[in-house]
Amino acid sequence: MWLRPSVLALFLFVLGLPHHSLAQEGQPAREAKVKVAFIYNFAKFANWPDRAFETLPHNSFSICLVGKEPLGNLLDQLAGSKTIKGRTILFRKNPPQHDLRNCRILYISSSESLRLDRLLKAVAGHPVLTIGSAEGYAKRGAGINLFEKNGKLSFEINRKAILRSGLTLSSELLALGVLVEGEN
Amino acid sequence: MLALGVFLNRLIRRILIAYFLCLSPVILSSSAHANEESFEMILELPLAALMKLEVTTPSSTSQKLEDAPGTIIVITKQQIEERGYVNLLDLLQDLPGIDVNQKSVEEYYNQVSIRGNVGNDNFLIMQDGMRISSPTGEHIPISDNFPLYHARQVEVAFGPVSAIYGADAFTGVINIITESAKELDGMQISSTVGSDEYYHNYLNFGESLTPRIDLKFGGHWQSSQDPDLSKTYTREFQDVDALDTSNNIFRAASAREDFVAGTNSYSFYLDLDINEKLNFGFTRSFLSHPTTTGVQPKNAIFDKDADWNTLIQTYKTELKSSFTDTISGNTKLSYSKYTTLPSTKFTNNFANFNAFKFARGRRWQLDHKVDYKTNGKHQLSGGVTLQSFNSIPKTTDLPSEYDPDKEAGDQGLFHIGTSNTLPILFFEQDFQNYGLFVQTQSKWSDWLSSFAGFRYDYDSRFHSTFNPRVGAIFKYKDSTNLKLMYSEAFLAPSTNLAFSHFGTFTGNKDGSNRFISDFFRLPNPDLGPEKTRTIDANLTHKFDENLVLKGGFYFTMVEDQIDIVSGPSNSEFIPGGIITSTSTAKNVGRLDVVGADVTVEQAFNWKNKKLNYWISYSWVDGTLKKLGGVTSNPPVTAKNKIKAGFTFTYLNDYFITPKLIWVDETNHFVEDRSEKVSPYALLNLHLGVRNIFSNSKHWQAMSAYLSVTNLADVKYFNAGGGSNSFGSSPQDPRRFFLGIRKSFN
Repeated sequence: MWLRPSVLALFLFVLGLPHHSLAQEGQPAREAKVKVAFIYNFAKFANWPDRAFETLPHNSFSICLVGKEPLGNLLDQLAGSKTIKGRTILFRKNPPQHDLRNCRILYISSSESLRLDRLLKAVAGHPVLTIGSAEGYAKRGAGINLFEKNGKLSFEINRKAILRSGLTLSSELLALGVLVEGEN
Repeated sequence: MLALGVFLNRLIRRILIAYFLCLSPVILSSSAHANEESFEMILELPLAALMKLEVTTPSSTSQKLEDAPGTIIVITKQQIEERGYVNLLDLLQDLPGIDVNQKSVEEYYNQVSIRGNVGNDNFLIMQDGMRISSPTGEHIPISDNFPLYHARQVEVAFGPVSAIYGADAFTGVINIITESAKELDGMQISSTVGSDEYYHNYLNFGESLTPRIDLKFGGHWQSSQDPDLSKTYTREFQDVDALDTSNNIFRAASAREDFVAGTNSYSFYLDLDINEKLNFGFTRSFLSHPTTTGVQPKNAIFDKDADWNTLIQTYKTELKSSFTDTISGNTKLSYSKYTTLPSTKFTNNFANFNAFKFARGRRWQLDHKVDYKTNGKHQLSGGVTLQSFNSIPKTTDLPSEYDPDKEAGDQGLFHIGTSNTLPILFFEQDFQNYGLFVQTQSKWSDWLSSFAGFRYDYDSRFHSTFNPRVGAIFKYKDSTNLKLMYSEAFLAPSTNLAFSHFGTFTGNKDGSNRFISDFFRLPNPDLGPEKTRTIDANLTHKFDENLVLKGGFYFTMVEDQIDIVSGPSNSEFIPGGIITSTSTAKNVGRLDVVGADVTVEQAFNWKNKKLNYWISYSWVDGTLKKLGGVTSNPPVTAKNKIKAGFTFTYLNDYFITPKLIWVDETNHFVEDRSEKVSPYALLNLHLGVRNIFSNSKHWQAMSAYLSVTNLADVKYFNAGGGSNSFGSSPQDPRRFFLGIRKSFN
């Protein structure tokens, strides 16, 4: 009985503490923003052959997302605010498989591990920069794979996969990434 | 005292609302610019700088299961889809340590027993951290009223968790975590048809309306006639005389009606998130099930209107704050309402074959929690809870529907069989609870962590309870994890149990001109909380990244367990009446349970194929001691259970999941060592195809599923739930379900 007023007083005191909302964000939101920033930077430091843009809508650069990672809204924002190689960014989420070859960047979510081979086969021989975000994607044939180490993001590069797609990467990008060999 | 309780409740509710109205604009305005600038800023960073940014921080890292202070099982969205879980009961049925007895009790449809302790009110059900089970502790059905179409994952924490969650986190806590609006990023619709006119549809939508505002909402609707059990179980459902409580024939065998057993349900949820700081949420769930569920035909009349209708609604507002990099806070204001709708009707002998029920429970609640994390090794959490309750406990049998537009005291209803002379009493209650909790978690080294905490509650009905919790986690390399825990919890006596009263009058009077009743359940306003203590040991060993062994051992003691015992004879509880035989609820029982669960999970991966299997064995034994030295086994619990299954996946688009459950003899609800429900084995199958038309522009992201329950079409029984019920309640024959789902992104 005696504790009731004390508990109420403590409760009101705690409520009365000032609430300062700093810029600290939830983990999933920050990681997603950093991933999209990586994608943007990869696009800046990779080079596509001229033929890569002959069949696309005029002056557009297509970024495609396959799978369930919640990057769609951020990629939409990127498309609305930036350009790549002087081209308007066109963002497409989960396009039909036969249309993947028209993507210039194909981001493959970690949820698509079992479909990875089929997705890579759909873009084989086409100028598509494939970016993954799950363990082993680069070894299995994706051009670049993002991974987390000690709470920070880094990336690994499969140079042969990049060359097979007809792309080249800048020396700066090659110097920052981890080079991996493919499985075949 | 009653007037004081009402006054306090009104004052508390006004304080809660005023606080939130003052606080919300402050939070919104102070956070206005943070997020939008930071994404732009991040885009401008050079690559080398991006690689130095922390994406997981101590204050935002989700705790790994192995580090969590408790025995927790997580079922992911992919598992929910591949195993064909439509609602929470489907999921619980496959978990170790849990007994699910379906279609076995008239009031709450089915019974869930966790680690030998039966009771749908013994554990909390939450959605995104918000309680969505009854706010005032009623027994509720667990079925399609808790759907899983919107779940990203379901976390099931076993054991007493009152040290954090307060009352009613007695045998565990279940948290359904829904997909975020960003994850949904569009809309899903689904439609399923099945045997016995089964229909199930849902819609789920989520999108970021602006960079700072996320909205998601969804709903489901379900209807089913359910199987005609009288065709499968001809002996149990043969036409017999329906008898009243004096064994007089109410309806002769030759005039019996057809079997009826339909259910229907719906739910709706909405969540609006502003800046990941302010959140508004709403949930509503409804389930209608027959009140003849599990009842023997001699005791009840089948009637399509004889349904128990349960409605639960919750509203919440939540504020998240960061005081510093290491101190964060969370403030939540919520309102929750449980209703047994006035249309709830019984057609059994206790209710004179035609009577109505009503119940309502409401709770206003304010929670404030603060987390303090130091250098990633120590965390201190604390919080306070202020709760205000109003309850109209489950009424006695009413001659007509309760009018919710009138106060309880103005209903003007009279006991059946008293020629409208004995008025029905409603025991409306107002009470409060104040809670305070503190918990610390510490990582002392790579191999040793510990946690300790307690919660103090003061309930205006039965005063204070104190529930501590302590444990240690030992790690050996990254492969082996051992948790040792001790925890206590309490189960607040629901007003339903404390004030439950029902019975019938014969219509006759005695020599003193009092109406005669053969039987009545009497209220017990002095009912106190049940108390549990548990010792829990939990081991996880990873042989490699694809093979995991999990084992758990527990000993649980429940004191002051509520049991129904004989009450005074020739009671004059109802003025103007004389009741020859009574029963009432009392804190007289003690349950001691010991048990163990062992689970093996393994995955095999090939290039385009994957096989996951799981197999668990559960053992539980114990003693329930009741008044007068009567002992029995833990009710509605099987000593041995095996649950197993596998999912084979091809190209991530094609999958098949057969599941097997084997349950040993199950103890009845009504104690009798000689009577048990026979063992049974149940085989269920679920298979599906995702992205049926992956190359189509308009028809991609379409999936189809086929489920078959009781594939072998065996006859089996579950443990019954009351004196009117079957001891062994007949269960469904084989059923088929076919569904499609389309996503629009």
